[in-house]
Amino acid sequence: MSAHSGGRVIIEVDGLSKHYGDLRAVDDVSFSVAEGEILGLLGHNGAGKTTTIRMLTGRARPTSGRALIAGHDVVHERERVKPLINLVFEEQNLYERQTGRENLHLFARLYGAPPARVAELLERVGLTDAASRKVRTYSSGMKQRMLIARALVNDPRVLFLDEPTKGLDPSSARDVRGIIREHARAGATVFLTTHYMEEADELCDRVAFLAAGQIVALDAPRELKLRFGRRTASVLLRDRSKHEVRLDDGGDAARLEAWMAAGEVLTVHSQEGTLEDVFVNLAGRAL
Amino acid sequence: MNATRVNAIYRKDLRDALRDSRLIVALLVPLLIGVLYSFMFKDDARQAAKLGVVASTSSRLPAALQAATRAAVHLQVQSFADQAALTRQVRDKNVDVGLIIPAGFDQALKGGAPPRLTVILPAAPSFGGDYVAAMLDRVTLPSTAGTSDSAFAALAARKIFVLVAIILMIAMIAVYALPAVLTEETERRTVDALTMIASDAEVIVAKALFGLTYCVISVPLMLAITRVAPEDVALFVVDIVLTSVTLVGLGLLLGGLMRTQTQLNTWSTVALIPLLAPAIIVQLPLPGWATVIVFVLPTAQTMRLGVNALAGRELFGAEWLSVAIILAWAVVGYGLVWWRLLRREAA
Repeated sequence: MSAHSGGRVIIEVDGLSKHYGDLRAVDDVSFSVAEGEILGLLGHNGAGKTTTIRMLTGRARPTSGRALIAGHDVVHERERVKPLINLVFEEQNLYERQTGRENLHLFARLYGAPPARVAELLERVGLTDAASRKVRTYSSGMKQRMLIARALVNDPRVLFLDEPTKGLDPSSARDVRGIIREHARAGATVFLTTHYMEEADELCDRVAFLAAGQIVALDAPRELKLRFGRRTASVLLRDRSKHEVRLDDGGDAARLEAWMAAGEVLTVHSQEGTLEDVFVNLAGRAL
Repeated sequence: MNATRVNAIYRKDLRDALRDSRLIVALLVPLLIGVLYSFMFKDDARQAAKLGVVASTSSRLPAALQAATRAAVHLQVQSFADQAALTRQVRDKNVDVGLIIPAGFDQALKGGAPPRLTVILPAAPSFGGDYVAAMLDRVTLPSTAGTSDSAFAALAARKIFVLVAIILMIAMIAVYALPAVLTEETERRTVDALTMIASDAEVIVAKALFGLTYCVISVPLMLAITRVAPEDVALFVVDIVLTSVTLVGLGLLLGGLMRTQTQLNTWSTVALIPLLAPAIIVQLPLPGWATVIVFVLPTAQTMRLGVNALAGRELFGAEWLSVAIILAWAVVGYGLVWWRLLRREAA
């Protein structure tokens, strides 16, 4: 499966698999991601999303296949890959007894980033005022923003995010999506996993559906919806009755045509399929 | 290995430890025990006792008794002309214990024959009299120079117990505080964030430095508070540094094996027993098999070297063997830590 058109490929995955005994957590997955692209990986729990991220970030060794980031093998050239990437973990794994500023200073030192970067990031994620507070006093949304700030400390060319808005209230989730979008606009590549279809639809240039360790579809959300979604129309007739018709269904389409010919239609609202529909179609059940 | 990254993690751990009540308690408990011992026992709280001797020929027995009872009793020796004079002095409680040493006693002892010895005690013996009488068997048995009996007799109880408290402190830091830091990193997955850029080895080295720093700060603190000064400072430093390095290695291994704080709380207590017990029982008479087991444990050797350093003389022999045993444990500990790191890399 090819990268988003136009960009230079930065992540290249070829036949990547991870087996735990008989369990094929990730099974022969291949795809590529272009520089500046936001790719979403969607799937049920246990579909292999986190394992894929673990392999791409060098924290799990693939059973077979290989993955390159900026041309470097994530297993054999891990030390070259490390400065180019960063990860927002699913768990809020911050040092809770340390302040927000101390957390960022630690990682700035680890990555060799200038100290000024810390203040810049705190400002960027809106935590300047809370920077001197211990992280354990932060709300979940603040911790998530701190995690993102930490992952941006080395200005990574590829930012991985594992369920970045899981458990956040809508306002915090919106803030987080804003930061991700901003980072991608600056030219970085974003690779995220999520359970939220609307989030994937809103954020991602392309999404990949992972089911039982395999990619069952990978394309732009709009293309997927056109290809696999169920287009419907909501019809209001003169007799005030409402009808839902499936435009891809021959019978429904003929019925609509007949209503229109008879002048019985008051309003028609067409609706394209949702990613949720696409996922159900392809993976068999909703997320 | 990147020194900047090691330093960053090490400094973070030090700062974090000052805010972690568990680690502060791990340091304070042994410190308080040391201080308590220091108050309970005095450097020279020995009771005075008088030994009366009637000997027709010169004997080494009174001097041997003085040496054997030195830890508990300040024994004065006084010669008497005959048994009647000595008996009278004992009865009048001017003398705590009387000995009638027959002619040729020392030669008979050397020859292995059980020599006849008359002991005169008052009807209600003093502590000193009882103690000296009890030590007679040990002194008249075949020589046991260099064993714990003579070693511990030569050093005040206060110093012994402060040394035990120091060993407890190092053990608490190494097999509780340090693994607690490591296990917390694993359990909270913060170590995963560190290893996004740092290597496992860099994290481990930083933790080892953190443990050693804790030891390096706390041991002099204990010595300063208890005002115990080793006679042989160089040997004491070697002993404490070697022990700290070794136990920190074993602590890293323990911390690497534990996944949760609950597991650690259970197993660190188990690990403390074989580290602490030898320090206490190395001085006691044990069955042969138990002596061997205790002897090969690192803290038994820490105790032996520590006693020598505090006394300023070789009360326990074969110091090189003590150093070798502690070093062997260090090699085992760090070897296993290294092996686990390699396995992690390959996973």
